[in-house]
Amino acid sequence: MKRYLFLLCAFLLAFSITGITYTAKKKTQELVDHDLDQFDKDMRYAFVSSLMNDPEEYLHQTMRTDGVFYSFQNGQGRIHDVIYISDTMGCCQKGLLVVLQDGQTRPANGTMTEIKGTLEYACEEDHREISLSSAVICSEP
Amino acid sequence: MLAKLYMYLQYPFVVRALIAGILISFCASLLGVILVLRRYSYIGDCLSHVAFGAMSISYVVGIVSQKLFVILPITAVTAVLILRTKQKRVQGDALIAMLSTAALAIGYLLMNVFPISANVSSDVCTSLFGSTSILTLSQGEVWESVILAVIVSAIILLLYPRIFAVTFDEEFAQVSGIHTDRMQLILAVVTSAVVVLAMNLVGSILISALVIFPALSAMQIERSFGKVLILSSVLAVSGALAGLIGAILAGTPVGATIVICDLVIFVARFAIGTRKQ
Repeated sequence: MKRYLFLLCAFLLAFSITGITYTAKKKTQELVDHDLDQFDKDMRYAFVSSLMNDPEEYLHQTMRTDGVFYSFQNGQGRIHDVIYISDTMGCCQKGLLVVLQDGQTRPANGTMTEIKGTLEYACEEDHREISLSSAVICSEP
Repeated sequence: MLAKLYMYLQYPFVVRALIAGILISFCASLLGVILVLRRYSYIGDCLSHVAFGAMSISYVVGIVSQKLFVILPITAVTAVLILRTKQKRVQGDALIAMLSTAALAIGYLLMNVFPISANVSSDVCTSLFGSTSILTLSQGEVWESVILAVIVSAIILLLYPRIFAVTFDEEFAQVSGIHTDRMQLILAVVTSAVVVLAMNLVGSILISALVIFPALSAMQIERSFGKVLILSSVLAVSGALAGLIGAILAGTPVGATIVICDLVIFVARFAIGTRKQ
């Protein structure tokens, strides 16, 4: 029993130290609030899914991710940019609306693209949708 | 590795997954002991396939957001049909196998004939294998798990003597004045509710593992009904926690990792434990 209690205490201590170190490191090194490049594919998909369900929680925060870039034109001739993020198996995917910063060159459709921006609402025809605004393409064309 | 775990734990969707995973596996393990002892181990699998079929129906009729109102009644009626012991034209395992495969076939057929989204494979993958569904739970779904865990625990605690009697000797329980039909109905409804919610955790293919493994592992170690119930829930919660954390850290599928952890616990009992005489 004492051995299990000792192991539990050791784990909790190690976890706390890691947490303190991680938070300190995050404060000094972090450039974006959510760096999805550090996530596994399933976790990345789950994050975007959570972002879609509960956008208020992530509003005005910065995010970096990679995904498949697509650009298409709607009936009114307006161009929409979307980055698709899929899970490990590739059977589930979410499309996040992207609003590119002025001067950014659109990657070709279907290109794996690394992108960085701020999570803001973008106004669509009759509704508003969470989007990656002021987005900058990080990956090389 | 701990830094990675700490990073993920800062996200609410990961915390929600851990809470729901622990509660659902706790409920499944409590029911698992009763179902395994009554020789209905495969009922979880059957009901989850029926739930998959019912979910397809809810998609086809266009009530995706309120799908629980379609899935739960259909699954509960099926559970009553299976657990009802008298006046059966098709017996036990044959009935389970028949309903299970028929529901799966109907569900898959409906999803193909009336696809609600362009990506049918995504819907099928999510429903059958859980995929990432536990990581995409809403706060409301977590509350559903909390309420379910409270209800299941309350039923087991309040009806413990009656459940014990019905589980081991139904005829004796009936002679003793216990309303066995009512008990069957309660068990059927609770089982279907647990199975429907557990679909989010491991998907309908792997649900049986959540029901069977902790109960079997506990039965290998303890012999009294009460102790088996307690140990089964402890093992189930440990397996779910280890599986969820393992899946998050290793980037493996959550459902499959939880089941593998349950399997490891079961096999470990042969390596380190002996059955109490």
